[in-house]
Amino acid sequence: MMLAIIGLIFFATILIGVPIAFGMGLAGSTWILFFEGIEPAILVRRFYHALNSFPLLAIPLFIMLGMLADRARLLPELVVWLQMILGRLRGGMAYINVVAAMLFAGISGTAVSDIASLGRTLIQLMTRAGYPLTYSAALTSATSIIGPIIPPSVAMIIYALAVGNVSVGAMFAGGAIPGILFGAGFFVMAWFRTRRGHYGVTLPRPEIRSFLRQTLRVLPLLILPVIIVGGIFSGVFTVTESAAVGTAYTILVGVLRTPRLRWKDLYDATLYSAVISAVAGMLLGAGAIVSWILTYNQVTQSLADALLALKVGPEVFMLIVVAVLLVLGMLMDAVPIMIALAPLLAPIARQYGISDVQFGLVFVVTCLIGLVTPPVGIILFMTSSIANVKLEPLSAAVFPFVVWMTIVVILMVFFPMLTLWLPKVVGF
Amino acid sequence: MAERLALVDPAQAARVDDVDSETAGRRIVEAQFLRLPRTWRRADRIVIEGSHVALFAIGMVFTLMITLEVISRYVFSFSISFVNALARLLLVWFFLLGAGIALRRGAHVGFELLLSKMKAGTRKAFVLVGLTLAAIFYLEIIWSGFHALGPALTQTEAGLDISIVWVVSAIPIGCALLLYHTIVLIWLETHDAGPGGGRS
Repeated sequence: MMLAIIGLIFFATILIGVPIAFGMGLAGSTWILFFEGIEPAILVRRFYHALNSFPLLAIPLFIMLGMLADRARLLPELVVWLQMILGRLRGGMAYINVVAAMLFAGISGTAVSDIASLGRTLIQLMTRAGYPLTYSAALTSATSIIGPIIPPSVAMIIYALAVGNVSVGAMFAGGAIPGILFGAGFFVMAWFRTRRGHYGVTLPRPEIRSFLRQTLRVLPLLILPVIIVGGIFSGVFTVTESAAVGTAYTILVGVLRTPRLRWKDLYDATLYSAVISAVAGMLLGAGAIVSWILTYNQVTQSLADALLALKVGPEVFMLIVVAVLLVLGMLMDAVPIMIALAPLLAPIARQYGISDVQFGLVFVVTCLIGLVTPPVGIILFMTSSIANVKLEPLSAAVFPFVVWMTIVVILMVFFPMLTLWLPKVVGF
Repeated sequence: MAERLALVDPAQAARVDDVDSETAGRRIVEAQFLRLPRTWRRADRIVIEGSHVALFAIGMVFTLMITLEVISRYVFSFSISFVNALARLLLVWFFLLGAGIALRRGAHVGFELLLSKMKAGTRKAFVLVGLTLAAIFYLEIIWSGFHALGPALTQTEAGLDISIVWVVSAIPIGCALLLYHTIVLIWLETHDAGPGGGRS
């Protein structure tokens, strides 16, 4: 009954367009204040405990870093450098799309910053090389999903904090192989498409001097993933420290190179980071209230008992979760799904004997697929807007990539080593 | 034989009409300024610009502070003990002040599918109901904040040796700002037939 009332308020509010964080918060706080009559201070206390967290600082820092790298012109330099290397291949412009996304993934932790920083440029490069606009936009949408899978990843930080007792570093390490699988699959698909459609052009061989000069210009950016990912995996930095050091390093590089990073760029990057991370922060705060109610009323345990009574194996349980998340991903953004469902399902997965890291990665990657599935997919919307392509043909063109992403998730379910081997190797 | 192209400089290509997300967000709020009455516009600008400056200062302080702590730890073998606690305190303020700006820019994640299918009049009515329901949530948190501040006065933030009121108060103050921004959005929604800029 309790869950029904909270659920009813929540769904009624979000259906009429109330931001999900506030709809969730309204449902939870109304229940606490007017139905249970619990001491009101509990609301602020839950908010405070959810937000007063050092690992959470990594979110604004990684978002700031992504925008600063763009404003310091490091990303356009990367694309020019990749053109010099891959431009001599016939499908080079499509391959650049995949490789640039994988390299940028080692710096930025969100798909949104990937598409906002590189999207327009990558689509322009592909259409200039003769690829259809819709296909170029679809590949760009799909490759942006690699951003939050290859470490660092804001989505993984949010998941780990929403669930608790999951190592962010281990999740980062576990995300590397699925991210590379995504990229490898997109690369092969681009190769087939280039051959079948006779698309692509080749660029002239660059002069060795200009190539070396460009390599020097892009070197500070190529060092950045080594600092961030290397720092975390070697135990030199925590995730938050790596994000802060990476941001300070980008500011330093941006100030020393020409054209210089200006105060305005720093100001803009901080504000952008505040806006985007505040959205995640409000969801975490409101999610903490609802999560507390569910635990207080033993809803989590009742749900666990019901699911365990199904007597299915851990793989089938994960496949059911994947199916539910794929459907929800069509309707909702990844972060609210993670905050609403992960704290409920992660303890059940633990009772099935599934590793926290494996379940977490299956959960996060499946939610991220939802960013490119219609009718509600933020990356689809952004790509449709920057490429000026209608949503329907874009959704159809992105479908083969969604199929590949789903296959990778199924592989992650059946082969735990894909997600657990690297964390073990790097000592998590 | 594949056609050959000259090397494209994306820095040049992207410069023509590129408007990044921050600039686009700032434009939404600028458009809202223009629709407010003159006196209110001035006060609103103070609230928005004040939040911007505070967010910039907070963001820069925690970035540099954490970096300096790492340098100090590895170069001088000296750990600055208060950095962790101060950074967390600043983060709570960063989220709560940022939430108001995000509301004005329509950045909060929401489900828009149903609203987008409605006729203008019906949509407007639902938007107003939605804004009012969100306002009730902020009021609940503000009320809860008043109850939480008393006990918080007696507790100390570990690592900083200051009262946790400095952190906890960010939550009701942030929600008060959210309430203010919601009032602005309700005013804009009821005083113009055009689409509200503040919807997510």
